[in-house]
Amino acid sequence: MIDLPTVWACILAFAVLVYVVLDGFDLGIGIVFPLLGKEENRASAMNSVAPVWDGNETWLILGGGGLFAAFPLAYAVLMPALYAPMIAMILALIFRGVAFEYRWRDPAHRSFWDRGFHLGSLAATCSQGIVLGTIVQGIDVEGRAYVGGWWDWVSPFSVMCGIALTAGYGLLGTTWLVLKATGDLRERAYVLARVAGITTLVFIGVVSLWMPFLSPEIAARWFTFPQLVFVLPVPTLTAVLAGLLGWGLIARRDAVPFPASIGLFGLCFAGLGIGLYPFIVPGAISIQEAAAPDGSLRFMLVGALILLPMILAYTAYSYWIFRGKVDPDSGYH
Amino acid sequence: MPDEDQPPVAAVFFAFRIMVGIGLLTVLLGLASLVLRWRRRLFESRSLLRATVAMGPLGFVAIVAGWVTTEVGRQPYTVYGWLLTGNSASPVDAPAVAASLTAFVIVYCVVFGFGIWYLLRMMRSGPAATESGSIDKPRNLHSSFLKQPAGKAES
Repeated sequence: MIDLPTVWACILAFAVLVYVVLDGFDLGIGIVFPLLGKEENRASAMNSVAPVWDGNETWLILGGGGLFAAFPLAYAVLMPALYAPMIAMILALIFRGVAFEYRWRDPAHRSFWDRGFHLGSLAATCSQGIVLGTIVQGIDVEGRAYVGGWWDWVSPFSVMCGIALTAGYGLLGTTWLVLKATGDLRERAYVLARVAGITTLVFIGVVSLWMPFLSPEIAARWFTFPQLVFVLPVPTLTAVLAGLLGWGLIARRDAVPFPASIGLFGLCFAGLGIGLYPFIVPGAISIQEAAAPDGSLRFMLVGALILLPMILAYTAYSYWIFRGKVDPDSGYH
Repeated sequence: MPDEDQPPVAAVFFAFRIMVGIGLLTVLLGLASLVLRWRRRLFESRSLLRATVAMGPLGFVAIVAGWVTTEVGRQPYTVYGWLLTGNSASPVDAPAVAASLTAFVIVYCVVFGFGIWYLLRMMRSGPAATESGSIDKPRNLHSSFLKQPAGKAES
């Protein structure tokens, strides 16, 4: 049952999950940026992610490039369907990326770049949520091509996913600040993280209840007897982690909320996987159908098996170097 | 080769020669610098320093010319001999492509406009006089900011 397409689907799922968690918290900091108060707080928040944010976005390249190389049919069908939100995401990421550098170079226009950082992060996050929602609810496919229009992604479910992901990234960003910040910024982060936490949990509930109504197949996975036993750990663990997150935020344990939030994202991702497997384009194209020839997959697997551990190692190393609280008086810039 | 399988020749012809020409000029500049270094006049020769400044933007011109050479040169194919450009286009509506192209042009103009302005401003202010390190170790733009507190980098 473990064939090459399945291995590649696992690699890509891993890349996307790592991307969502890592870029999620630095996009989250952009989302709450205007709420952080004085300039020292903003500078500290930005410096807490400055050494790692661009490394975080490499996982998006791996996800996109990997999809193109390993599942060309899925790439060819999905990208036209997601054209508008994908382009919006890329433009937003450009804007927010240069803001990291430009806000220090040009104090006269700092408020412009701060707004660019905030709106860019917000737009990129909403686009990613909309992309996810559009994929989950399904797109119009005939044969081996997308046949819908370029506004098909607009739907109540996809827009709701955009808002839900904004709350979720906001939670990752604020709990990251709880972990990294001191003083006034930490206090603000606690307040914001509580709001983001409650909002995120409400949205997890809404999406979980809404998804089964999108298709009877998804409902069958979650609500029929033998499967129920296997999928039950997902909601159970979600409840446990939600409790842990709440405790960490109320008892003010700085190191607890961020890992708990990452865990929640992991479980949501697992829940999505349970709902969608074995489809890569839901309801239309399976992982096996979309896969490149085995020869290509094997060739790329060699490269992936060498490079992925290296990327993981240097990523871990850079987080280790910048571990602990951010010193408000020493910047990366 | 039949006419319909040929790319627009003029664009490829000139783009390729511009790219290679600038490449040769770069090599020539390198050799001239080497000779002057030998004669211990590298940092004194005004004409060479002026030529080096003038060569600065040509690197970008060469890159764009090279890009035009490959992209125009492989027309009418996307994958040479296998897949025609017309057949490889995505099923995306023309207004979507027009809208995204416009958006990219606007964003690039803003981002590059500011970027070039900052670059020129940094070049005008020159290397910091207080910078430690020898002439063999060029000023690292990031490291000079590392030593300063966050948010005070501009002072």
